[in-house]
Amino acid sequence: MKALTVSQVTKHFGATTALAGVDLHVTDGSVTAVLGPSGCGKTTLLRLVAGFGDPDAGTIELGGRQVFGPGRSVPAQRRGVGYVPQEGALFPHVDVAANIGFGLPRTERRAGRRAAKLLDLVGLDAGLAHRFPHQLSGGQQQRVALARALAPRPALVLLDEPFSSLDAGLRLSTANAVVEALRANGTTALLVTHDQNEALSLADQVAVMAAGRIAQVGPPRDVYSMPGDPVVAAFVGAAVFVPAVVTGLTASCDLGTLPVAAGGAEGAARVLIRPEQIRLLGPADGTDGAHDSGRNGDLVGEVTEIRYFGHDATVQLQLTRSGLTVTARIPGDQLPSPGARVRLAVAGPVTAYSAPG
Amino acid sequence: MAYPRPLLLACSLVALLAAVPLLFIIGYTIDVGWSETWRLLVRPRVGDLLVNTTELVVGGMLASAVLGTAAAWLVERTDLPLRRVWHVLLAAPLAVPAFVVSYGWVSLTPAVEGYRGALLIVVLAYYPLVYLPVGATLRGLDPALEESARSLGLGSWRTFARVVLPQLRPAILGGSLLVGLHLLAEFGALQMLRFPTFTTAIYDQYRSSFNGPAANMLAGVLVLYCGVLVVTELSLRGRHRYARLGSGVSRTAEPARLGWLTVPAVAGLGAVVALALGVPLASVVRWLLVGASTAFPVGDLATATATAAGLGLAGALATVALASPVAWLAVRHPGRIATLLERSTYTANALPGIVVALTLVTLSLRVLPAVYQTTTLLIIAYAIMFLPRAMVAARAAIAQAPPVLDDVALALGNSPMRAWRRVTLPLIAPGIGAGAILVFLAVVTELTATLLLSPTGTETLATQFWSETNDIDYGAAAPYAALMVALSTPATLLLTRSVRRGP
Repeated sequence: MKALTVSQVTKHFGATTALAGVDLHVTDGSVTAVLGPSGCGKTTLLRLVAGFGDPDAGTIELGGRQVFGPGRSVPAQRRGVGYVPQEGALFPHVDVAANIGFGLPRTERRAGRRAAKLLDLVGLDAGLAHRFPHQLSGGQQQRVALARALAPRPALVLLDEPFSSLDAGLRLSTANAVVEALRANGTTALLVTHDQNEALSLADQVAVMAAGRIAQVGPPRDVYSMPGDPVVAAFVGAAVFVPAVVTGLTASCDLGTLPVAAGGAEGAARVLIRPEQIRLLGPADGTDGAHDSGRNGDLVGEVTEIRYFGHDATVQLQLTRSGLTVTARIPGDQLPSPGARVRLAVAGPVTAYSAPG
Repeated sequence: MAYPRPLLLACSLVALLAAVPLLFIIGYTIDVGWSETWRLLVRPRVGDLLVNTTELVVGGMLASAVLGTAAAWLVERTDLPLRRVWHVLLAAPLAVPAFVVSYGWVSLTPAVEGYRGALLIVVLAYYPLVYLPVGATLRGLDPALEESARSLGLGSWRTFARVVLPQLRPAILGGSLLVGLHLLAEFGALQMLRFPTFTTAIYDQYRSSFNGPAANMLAGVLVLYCGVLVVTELSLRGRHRYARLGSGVSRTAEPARLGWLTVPAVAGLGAVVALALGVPLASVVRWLLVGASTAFPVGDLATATATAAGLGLAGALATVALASPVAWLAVRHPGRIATLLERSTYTANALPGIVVALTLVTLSLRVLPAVYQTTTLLIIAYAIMFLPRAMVAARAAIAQAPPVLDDVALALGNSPMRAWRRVTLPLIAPGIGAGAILVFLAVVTELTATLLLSPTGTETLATQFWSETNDIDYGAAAPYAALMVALSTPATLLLTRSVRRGP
């Protein structure tokens, strides 16, 4: 069962194209992240699904019911879609309980049980019910905003960069609490974000958007390890591109002969290597430094720059043989010293793309 | 950006109404012709008025700027004792209309006269217009700026001169501009002191020759003068960025220690409060006692109060009704047309009441004599004059209700009408109400336009006060003065509070 189906939706604002034919399917009960740089049209897509505007063309279906199509546009208030905007946007003139109850019929609002239940669902203390929005922290406001959106039991909740205004520490815990609440409630969610980590860690399905189109949809692992094109590859994580020649399922390049994931380019190509795929094996023998490679034909590189992050570190290496510069991500407790010559190897399959031009 | 048609039409009409006095003056001048204009304006009498007005405006602006800034610095940035009390006392003179201050002094001593007397009175009446914005800016100023200056080796004085003062420049200039515009518009206080300026001359001219071209030409010069002041302020303000860069809540600054200077500082502020607030109030109370022993016309007082309140209510409703759509357009549909229409409603900020009144008199007699000397015309004059106040309030109020809240309300199943009633209305109502109160209180103490436009037999607190004072019956004028002060107090408190919340 599809909770949301978007087909061939286009939208223009004057001369600018915000959406150039978007297709998206969201399965019931799943969390889908729409990931893209700012200006790629992801917020526009969300607003069209919510009903805050009409597409120029295409159709939108919610739970099998067409809410936008030729000659048909269900207004936002009758779509039954929850909406959590940036910075929460709680109603400042009423307290938390009234915010949560805002979309409920009067009798249920009076009872007040639903508000308490939802506060519990989003992991907030019931004592906050009679606080006003300005008395809450940013993370609390965001959770109340979710509770408010969930109160009328919508089939789908839309979240528009809901964590971007929170500071780093709060962002992670709030995001986890929000997604946990969504899953516990069995609610389908569409989350718009420009933060790769957020999208990859929270969602069941990631849709990468670029220039008004969906460039790739899939589970987070697929999108990260087998991006459909170099643009997606570079957007979902740090990437090293190396020129290579692909024959069947192997690629030969400056980093040696590497296994290639099926379905990539053939012949002259470039391969994608994630920095964490590059492993440092230990110091190279100093004696044969002038030679092309180490003892057993190992790759050797010189450490040119180290960035230490605590939990891990990135190391920039210049390969002795080819002069190519690559970046490796390694555990923080195994740092080489700058200028050291180290042996390295590439682990796991790489993805090949046809060479540019 | 597409504008909703009916809203655009309504806003255009409001903007046009607000621009009527200015357009009329320009049209009138063209109509009169160059040689006649020249003959009417190049006279020794006009030269005298120009000198008087300029002396008063320049002196008043400078003195208010110095006094207002110094007082604000003492209250906001030093360890002056009882700072909150001083803040209220220093802002309080705004609650006393300038002509009541003038009355307080004139009825006390004949020594207050001529240029010096006029300067003293207007500075005492109007320095809070500098004090309030400068104080608000000082409060919002990031202390890290001063700390950085200190760590770069600057002493207290050089820190103030090179870091704090430049930050205060927009507030000082803006406040001084307001003082200047008020001085150009001031009628009652100066007339009482027999210090002629353009505004009092226009009034006299109007009284003697009704609506002759001479009065209108003087009004034209006055408008030009106001325009020069506004443009000068804009060009001096420059295009620098003064707001705090970066985010986060700024800390409160460590107050400067006054030490032995505490005594002179307290004495100085005490003197200002005594002269600006103490003397007029004591004078009113004294005459109230004297007057009560002779005559206390309860009937007249009640009638004048009721009339003033009725006019205030009608004026407030009309003004808010005109301002709200324009403010809505400016906030919700920003764009070039919206900006133009919004700016137009601020024209009256630079138009003295006497000019608005005079143009409406002349225009109504020419175009629609039926409305001349009717309450309707008076209400229209109030609406034009006080539109900027209502606009400021309505704009801030509407900005309190961002469109995203409408979206949320819609997504929660409310129809647009219901969303407006449940979310937008409760959010904007207090701010718009505050705007209505401000207009109401401005109307209640308005003198100049009311004198020119009120229907025969309609007497308000201000006009009753004025005619008693003109007959040198200070005792009989006192109850009206007391009522006006009492009515102005809440508005002043409101103003002090909203300014306190910062820009």
